[in-house]
Amino acid sequence: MTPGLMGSTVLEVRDLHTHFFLRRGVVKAVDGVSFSLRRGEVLGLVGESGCGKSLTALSLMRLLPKGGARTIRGEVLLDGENILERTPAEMREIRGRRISMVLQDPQTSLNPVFTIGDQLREAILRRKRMPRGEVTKEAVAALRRVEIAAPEQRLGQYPHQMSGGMKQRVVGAIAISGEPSVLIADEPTTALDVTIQLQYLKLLKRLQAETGMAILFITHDFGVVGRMCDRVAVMYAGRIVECGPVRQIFEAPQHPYTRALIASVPKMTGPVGRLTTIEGQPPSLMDLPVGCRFASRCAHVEQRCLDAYPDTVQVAREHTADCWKVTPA
Amino acid sequence: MSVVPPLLRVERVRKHFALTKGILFTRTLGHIKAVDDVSFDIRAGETLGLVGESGCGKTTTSRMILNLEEPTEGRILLEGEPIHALQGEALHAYRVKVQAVFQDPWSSLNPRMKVGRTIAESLIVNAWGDRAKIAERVRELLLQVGLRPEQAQQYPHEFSGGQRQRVALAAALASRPKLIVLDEPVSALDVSIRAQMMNLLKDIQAQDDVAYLLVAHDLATVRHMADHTVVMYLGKIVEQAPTAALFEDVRHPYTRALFSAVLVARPNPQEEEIELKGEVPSPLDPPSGCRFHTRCPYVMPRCSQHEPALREVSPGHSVACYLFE
Repeated sequence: MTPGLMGSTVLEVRDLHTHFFLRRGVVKAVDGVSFSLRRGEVLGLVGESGCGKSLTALSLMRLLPKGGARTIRGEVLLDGENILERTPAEMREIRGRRISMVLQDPQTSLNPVFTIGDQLREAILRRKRMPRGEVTKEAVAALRRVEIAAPEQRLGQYPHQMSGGMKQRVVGAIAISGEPSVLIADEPTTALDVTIQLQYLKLLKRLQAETGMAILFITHDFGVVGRMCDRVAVMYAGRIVECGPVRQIFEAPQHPYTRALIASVPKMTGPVGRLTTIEGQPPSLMDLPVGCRFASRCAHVEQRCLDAYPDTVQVAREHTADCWKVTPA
Repeated sequence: MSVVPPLLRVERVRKHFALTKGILFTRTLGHIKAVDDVSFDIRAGETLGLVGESGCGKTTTSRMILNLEEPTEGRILLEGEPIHALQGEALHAYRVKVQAVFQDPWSSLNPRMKVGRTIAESLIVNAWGDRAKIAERVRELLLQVGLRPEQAQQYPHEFSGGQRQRVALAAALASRPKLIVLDEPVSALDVSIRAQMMNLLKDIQAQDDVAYLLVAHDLATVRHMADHTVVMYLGKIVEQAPTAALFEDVRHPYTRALFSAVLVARPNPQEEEIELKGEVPSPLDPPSGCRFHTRCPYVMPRCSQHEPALREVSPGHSVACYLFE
């Protein structure tokens, strides 16, 4: 994406805290997350299971899972408006039209007993009342936009009659039918085969170029990050520990966790030897240490790392890291 | 070629599933050719990587090797002995020699059984020894897979995903198998845990001289683990070679497409990408000639008429494609 097309900030998340309040204690799953997303940009949110990346997304959508999850602090500014303060009815208007989401498994997003056409028409009608014929015309156009061949015939089909890649395209078509300014994609290609994954990622890129929407792309796969993202935020134990332009994160990662994570990915070139691993496990989100959350697994740990959580340090232009040992720009 | 016979030989194996309609008056609508004329060898202490996308037949192949499916044609030999003729005691002995670890450790561990008991299960069934001897072996296995011996007393839900996969591996190793079928053993694990598991598998292979059949879709994993790689498409082997040779010199257009679809952990990769149009055709009605011709960027007229045979293009490296004749 050329810098000229990168626009103003469309989504800004400030100090977001979403915790699970359980009888056993408080699980601090999202614990002070801040980032911003610009128009026409793809920001990758990377991390391992349980780091809070999906819950961050659900907090933005205000679709928290049942069972004690609550956003207790922070702001989510969508075009400058804090959507955490909107009523549930207002949120229903915002979802789909201004912020939309695609999930990992298309099977769970589509209703198995309605045709693809029914589900697309419902999404279109929610946005705007129009005569039947026109709705169908729009539905066909929506399928064509996501490169589905013979869309007229597909409208009458049920989800089970389509392949995984095709279903994920339909979900994409529904998600962008309201022309949202922000699309959250939560591991949308994890369930797809590699050649189909590449097709889908290319399609997303093309749709983004056409519509100028911003994408928050949640993934655990650095390969997908390299292919899709302009910037990356790396999450660990409820916080973003490093954030910066893709090239810098790959070529000069600053946080020890990011470095270890990139080093542990098996490579397609270079020597085949033992892989670098990160020993130990992330801390329990119910009992977080006062200091740096990665300290117990970090090879460069010092006393100050255990005593206090480091400040967010600006290490280069647009590149920050939460680590005591990095050098400020 | 070594004179030593391979540990496992898969010989011109086919597996066709009949697709039927109706319950009382069953009609056969056709046959799904899940695996069609597949041959390869696995040598003792080596890893064979089996790669391909959904529906390529890699799972059916591994199920036949595990003796859970019978081939429609062809045979599979372990140490020279056809495995599908085995019965009774001999079949039992086979199951001791060939074990499996699957993608999802949840589905292979009994949630109501302490993991120590799960690991001991195959030893108990085979009357491997008395209680004390079995307990000692379980202890040894837990240490070998990087867990603590006292964890034998815990239940599967007390473990993380990576640890559960270690338990599944310990259970597979219990009877000292000659071959372990690893069906996507690391794809459900997180990146950092994945690397731990891959290192562990390699260490165990070096210690125990066990052979692996690694079924995987991730080429980088196969590159790090396998000595030999077989690439399948719609039930057929399209290319096979020693892993190092294959990664240096990819020949078949499908393998090339598969390689170019691998997203490398690097910003904006610039190399040419072969994007395949469309999806894998139905195995119920596979394309005539070369099964890849409908999606191949280099398709020639004869590709749709005749099926290319697997031919050796360099020592140990075979390709089924007319481009290399």
